[in-house]
Amino acid sequence: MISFCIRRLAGLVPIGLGVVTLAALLAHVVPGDPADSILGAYATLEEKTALNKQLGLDQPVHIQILNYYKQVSRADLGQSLINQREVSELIAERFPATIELAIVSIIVAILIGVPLGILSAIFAGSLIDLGAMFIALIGVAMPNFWLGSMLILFFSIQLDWLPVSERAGWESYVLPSLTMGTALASVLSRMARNSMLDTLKEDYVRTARAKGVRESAVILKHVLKNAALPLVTIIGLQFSVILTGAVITEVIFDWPGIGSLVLEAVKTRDYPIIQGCLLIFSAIYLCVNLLTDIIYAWIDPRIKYKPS
Amino acid sequence: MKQIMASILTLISAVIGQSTLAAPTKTVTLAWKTAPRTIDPRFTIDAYSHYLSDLQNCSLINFNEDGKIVGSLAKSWRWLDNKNLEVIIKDDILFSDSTKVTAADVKATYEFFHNTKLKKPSPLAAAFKKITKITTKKNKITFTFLEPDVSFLQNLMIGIVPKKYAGEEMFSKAGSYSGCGPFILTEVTSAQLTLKKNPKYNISSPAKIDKVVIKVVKDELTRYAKLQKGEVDIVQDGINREKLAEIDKQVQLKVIKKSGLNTTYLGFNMKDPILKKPQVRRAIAHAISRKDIIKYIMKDTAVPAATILTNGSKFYNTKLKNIKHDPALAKKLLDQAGYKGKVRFKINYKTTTNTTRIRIAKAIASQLSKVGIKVKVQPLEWGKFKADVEKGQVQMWSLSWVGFKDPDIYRYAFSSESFPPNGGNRGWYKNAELDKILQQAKITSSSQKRVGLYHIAQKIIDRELPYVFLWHEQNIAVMRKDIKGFRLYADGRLSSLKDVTR
Repeated sequence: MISFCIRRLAGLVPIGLGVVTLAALLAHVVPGDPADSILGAYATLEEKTALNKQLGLDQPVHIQILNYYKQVSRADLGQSLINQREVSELIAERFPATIELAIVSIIVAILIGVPLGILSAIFAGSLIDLGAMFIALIGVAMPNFWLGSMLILFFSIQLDWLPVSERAGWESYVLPSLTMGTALASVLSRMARNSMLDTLKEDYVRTARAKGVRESAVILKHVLKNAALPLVTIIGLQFSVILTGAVITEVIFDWPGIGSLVLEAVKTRDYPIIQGCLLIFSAIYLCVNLLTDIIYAWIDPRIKYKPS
Repeated sequence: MKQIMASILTLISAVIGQSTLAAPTKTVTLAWKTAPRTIDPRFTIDAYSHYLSDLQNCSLINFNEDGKIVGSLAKSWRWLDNKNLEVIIKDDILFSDSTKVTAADVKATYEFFHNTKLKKPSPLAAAFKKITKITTKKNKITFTFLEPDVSFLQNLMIGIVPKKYAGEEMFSKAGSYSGCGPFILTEVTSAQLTLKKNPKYNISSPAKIDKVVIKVVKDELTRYAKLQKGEVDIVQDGINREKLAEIDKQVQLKVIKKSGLNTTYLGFNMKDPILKKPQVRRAIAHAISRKDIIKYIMKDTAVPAATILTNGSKFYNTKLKNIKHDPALAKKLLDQAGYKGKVRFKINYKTTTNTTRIRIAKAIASQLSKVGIKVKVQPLEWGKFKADVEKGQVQMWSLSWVGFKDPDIYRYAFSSESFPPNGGNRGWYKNAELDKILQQAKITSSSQKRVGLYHIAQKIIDRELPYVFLWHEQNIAVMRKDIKGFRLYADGRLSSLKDVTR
């Protein structure tokens, strides 16, 4: 397992370098001059040129990429062009909100999706199965911006049960996590159903039933554990998607997370923040993938990772 | 036992006493579309930073509800000649830490813009580099300029920072310095700003409300929902105009409107072989029915514009007339320009991805198609749009001039010295006669003479039509019905918050 982890970590190095290069190139690819963001619309050409020189943006691209490598290697993500705060400080300030929301959303998704999938598999072909899969279909078809607005209208305005937005108290987690968790719950329920149905056909399940093991024990002990493998992969992948793609939900619910930070930075062409967030998002994605692989191997001891 | 009873009684009486003696904190909550870029008055270039600065700082001059210059910290001012401006400040004005605002504080605040050792310069530095000297004598401050520029007066709205803090790098935390405005900024987070009443404020009457909370609510639907639920009390220019009719029917909400200073225009690239012809531009102007667009898209929350300035400005030329919607005349002008046939020519119209802007662009395209001009509407992300317009990679586009009060905007928008990147003449319009008049107006300290010069300038622009001026948008505030005393300002500032009660 340790050598597997080391190999996987080594494999991340070229990807990381690629991401840093892309981040460094960002200011050149995206239209708009960073000097405009800092100096405003009324600065003269000379002032903009002088500032670009000060920021090192007048240097050849390869020098700028090398400088960015050096900067990142010192764990320095730079300063915001707009409010001159450290990018790492801004990300650290916003990260807890994003991770909290992602965790709660995943829990919501598991609590809804997995039981729905299990029920659907146990009662395959019945009305329960049909109903559960219909709900799953609706869940995956609803876009976040629509679902979020509908939840606000119903639970906050009509029923007056929950706050419209903001991150304050447990009530504030309900609507955003439902918004983010619903689509994932739908994916999970379909995956759980398929995986359960496959496992239910296995010989060892038939043997367990023949031995007179109670049905609940068969499902929980023999089927669910084995059917959980693909679910772990999906949950792992979706967790990183939720972490990095919560922009719409964060905007609708005024959630002060990284998604809304990126959105603001894109609007104001605050490149250091966009670059910093890009690096963080990539790191999260890679770490979660690595973690998923490790959990995968831990759940199923038959899985052995060998160098190809 | 007696002791326990006594303690309980003491506790109860303390709680009761507190609840009856302490007045409840009166709070007003606003929702803004975005967070201000900065809390530092020396770096404000966006509207929300200006609004915030206006709440926590005092400045030499300020603007009244109609956008006219009024004294704030300044008791009076006068041009000694066209290179020297003398300002006399009021006595006994206090910062929130009880220290007196002096001429030295004013000097230090303005000298900050000359500091070349800053890590990152202020975006406002360019506006102040023409000051060569600032001298003070008691309550008198004299600004000396490198070259005459009477439009400079409007730049004296920078929030004054105490001398001991004025040389520092950008402030990013609440409480970094003491301001002299009606409120004190006490908390800044990514989600909200909190201000409390400044009891030392003495430029005018102190705030009637104890606390102002400004929440950053990016989504329009969420802002509206928060207003409905009472989580927010006031939203200014942040609710879709199409909802106004629905809001009118709601018992808990009310709407107030006021003429604003924003001017939406249709710009033309003068380097374009078709659009450089004045007849074509005039034909386009006559083909557009601004009345219909204002009624159906702007929901009657705008008034037709004849020029950049609104008719409230003393520099506005009252002889200007709005261009009539006359498709027959438009066709005739196009015929005269040599463009005939069912499709006379095709044109590309760039706009932003803002939904209202796209709807307006489509309406204009439809109206122009009726006179034989085929328009392709191309919505672009703001950065790309701005870059294309500044590089001249555009035929026709629409944008707004936001909140301009001084007529020197004409020089910035139409003078040949203002071609991008040095200014805002994005249509590359060139007129030597206009250049001369605008330059003269910039250096003339006589107010009457300036008025006359700008009247001529507006007449030339009206004749040449480098832009078609479309409309001036109204400012709109939607608020809870129990909010009293909130008034709209033409430039959107929130100065009336100090007079709000509920």
